[in-house]
Amino acid sequence: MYLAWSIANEFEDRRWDVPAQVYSAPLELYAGRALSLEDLVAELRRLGYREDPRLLQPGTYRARLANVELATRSFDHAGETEPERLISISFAGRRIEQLRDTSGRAMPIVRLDPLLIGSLFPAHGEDRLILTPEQIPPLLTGALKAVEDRRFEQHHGIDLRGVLRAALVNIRHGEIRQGASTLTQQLVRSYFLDNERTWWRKLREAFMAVALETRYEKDALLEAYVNEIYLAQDGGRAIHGFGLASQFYFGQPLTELELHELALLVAQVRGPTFYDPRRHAERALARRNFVLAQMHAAGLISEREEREAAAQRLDIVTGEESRLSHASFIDLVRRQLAEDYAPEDLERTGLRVFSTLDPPLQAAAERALFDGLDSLDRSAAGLDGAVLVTHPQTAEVRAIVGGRQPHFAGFNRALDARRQVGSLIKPAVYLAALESGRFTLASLVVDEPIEIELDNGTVWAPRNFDDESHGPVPLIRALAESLNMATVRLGMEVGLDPVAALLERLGLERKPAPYPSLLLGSIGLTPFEVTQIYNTLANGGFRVPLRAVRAVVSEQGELLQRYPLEIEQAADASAVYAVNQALVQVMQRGTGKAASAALPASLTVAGKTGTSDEFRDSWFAGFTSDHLVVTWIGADDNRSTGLTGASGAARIWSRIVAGLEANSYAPPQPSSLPASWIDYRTGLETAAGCPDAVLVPLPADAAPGKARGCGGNLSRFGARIRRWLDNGN
Amino acid sequence: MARQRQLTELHAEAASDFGSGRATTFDRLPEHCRAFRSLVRRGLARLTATGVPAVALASLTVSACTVLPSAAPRTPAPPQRTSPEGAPATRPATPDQGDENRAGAAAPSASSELLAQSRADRAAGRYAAAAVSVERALRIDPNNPALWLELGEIQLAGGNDQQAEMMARKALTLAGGTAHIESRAERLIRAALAVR
Repeated sequence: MYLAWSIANEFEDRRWDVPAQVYSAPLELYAGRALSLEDLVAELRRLGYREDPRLLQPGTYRARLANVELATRSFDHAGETEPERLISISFAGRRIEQLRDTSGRAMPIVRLDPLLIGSLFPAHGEDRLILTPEQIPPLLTGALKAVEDRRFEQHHGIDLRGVLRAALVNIRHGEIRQGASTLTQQLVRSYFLDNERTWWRKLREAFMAVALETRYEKDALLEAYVNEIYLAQDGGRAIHGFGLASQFYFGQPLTELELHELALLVAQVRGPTFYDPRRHAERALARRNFVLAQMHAAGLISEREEREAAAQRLDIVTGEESRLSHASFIDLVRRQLAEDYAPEDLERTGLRVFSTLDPPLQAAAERALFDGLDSLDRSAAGLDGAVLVTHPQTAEVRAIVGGRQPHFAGFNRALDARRQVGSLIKPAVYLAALESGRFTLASLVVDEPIEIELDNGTVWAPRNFDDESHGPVPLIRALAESLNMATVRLGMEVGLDPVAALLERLGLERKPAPYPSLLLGSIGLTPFEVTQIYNTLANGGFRVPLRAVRAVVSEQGELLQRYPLEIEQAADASAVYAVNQALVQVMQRGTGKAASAALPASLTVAGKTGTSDEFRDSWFAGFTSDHLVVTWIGADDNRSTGLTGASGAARIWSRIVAGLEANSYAPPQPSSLPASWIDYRTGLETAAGCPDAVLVPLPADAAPGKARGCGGNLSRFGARIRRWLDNGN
Repeated sequence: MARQRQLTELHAEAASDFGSGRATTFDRLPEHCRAFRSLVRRGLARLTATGVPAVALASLTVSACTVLPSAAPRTPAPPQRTSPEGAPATRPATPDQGDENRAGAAAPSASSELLAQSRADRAAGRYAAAAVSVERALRIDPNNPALWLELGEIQLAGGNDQQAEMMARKALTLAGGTAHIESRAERLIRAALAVR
């Protein structure tokens, strides 16, 4: 009797180990938003909305020529409930034109339910999504009873008639062939016992089942069963319960499943490996149709319903479409939450985590990296890469690709690959120079060979990439063309300590050693660290720690924590503005020219290439008005890739940016830095319309040297001709 | 006492910014609309700081201006990269605003709706919720200085003067010489420093 009591007690305060469930950022719909009809439909499919011209239930849509109508699901967004709605969205080109409700009234903004992108399950363990009684369709419990335990409502935990029948079969064969487990016994087995088949275990199981039945209503036991039972295996992750299985196989909540889909889940109860619909489709189909037949026999569905459902395909989503493709991002979520939560809390207590992931952007970044690597691989085998995309002003991480196999939770290059950054470091050198007040973008620096004696007595003599000297050049050109000798001369004049300290201010969490080679980026940084530094630049000098989590809610729906936006001015805003304008010139005249050729001519972007020694690493970091994208390509064994930043990572970068519908990077000009025309080559003052004239933000008291005419020997007329030839217009 | 007065002043100032729409929107309107705007603003000055009639008037202005025949040329396109000028001096129009004007929608824009939600929460002392709505608006319209000021004022009301100051400094870098934004930001900085 003590045993019965203790079992019941254990069941009473049953705490399923429910790993934290991670949601994407919700898609916000509003008039004017850049989003095509096709993009919206793709997103709706990802969310498991189905096309249904009648819009009978939440989670359905219908698409017409330039219009989508949808019945949205209600969802609790960390304390704010978005109700179910019927809305109509009209499109004009690749934008939402209007958003209306059923009465035709314009709606300012609607947010969809977010995508469940993964969970923080233990390395080898159970993953589940708990359903409340209202979320369990009666058809499911009916089907379970019809297939697994026809006398469920009558028996007291064990089905003696069934046991006798099974016993006869087993005795006849001299071994255990047939079981007559009731749902209650299956529950007990799954909850308390291992899966060994012995008479002794069978006895204990029967005893426990009876004990549970005496204490609990049938409904409570069914609810527990629906949440407990093992239904699929996904690598080291065991999928338990119908809630998660529904997401795993169909990408939809259980309540929205159609009859044939529900039946397939019930079919899995008998053996998720044996009836795995992805591996053994025929077997799974036969078992599903058996379930349908049993449901008909039990009077749950009509003959016609059975026939129609049995004629359906399996309709499961592929592994790629399921949530696992976000392993790299989930990895970051886990690390950020680990600062505030114990691992047990994350893996067991059913937290709901609202993240910043943008699923369409994630998909686009993955595609760009895979396709880009494929097209590069002909020249260099074994390449891998990483991509990060952020929203600079809020520092929210929108997408992470940690390698070529994002579905595989392996080495996350985006967070852990520490690689030489090369010229990617240079903006920090120029920013330190501008902040010192001793330089402007028009100041001249000499690009000639330089030798620096190091502490160990050796002499360091950096050369330019093209092995040429360019003489005196303005800062803006030295950065745009990534001139090494000019940068080292400038950096030595500014001082290594200010440069190293600036990198820390920009968000690098460890102080880099102030060696001269730091000026050319002989420092290993992860793509994530690079992204943090560039995010501060893209955000006008305001540092915001990169964030993957917006809020955490308990299993009961109580808001536990928000991660609000907090900013810190890390660098002089005018100096950052000036450096960023030089990074715009990188894209227009310098090493990023090829990358911007793939973008619309009207789009202004800022960026920087990086290449490490012997072409081991190819980097690109660049931003628009509201996206920062960082890409890295290299080989895990650190061998040469033969790629520069421009020929490798920049191509992947422009593939991503080209698909963004991005806005130009065009911040307001600080009043302290009025724009002046200077000659890009010489830094001398010049006039609009002259060849190589570039508009540069300069302090009012800066006086670039005057040049005659256009700073060269060309007359105005000649200049116009040359410009005409250059631009082709 | 002094702090309370400062907050009230800031709030009134904010309401009038809100009412005048986003600086960027109005700066792009044709001349006859600017005249209309100043009429609206004068009317607004008499209204209390509720913000809601301000929204209505603001959208009225926008709709009226799009309906009225205009001799003024359409807003020039943002500087093109094909021109040799290089760095554009001004921020380009926010695209969603442009479309909204074209559609002549009577509905408030997404960010004004979120701002109105935030105001309601702020008035009820729910500062965290008020900040959430502004952050949501910032994801849509991250370079709008009025949103950063709004967030800074919420921070100040919630007792986080350090963040209030930072938000004001961020807004200043986005103000682009718009006088009322700059003065509102400077006032917020003074208020934040006064608390320390």
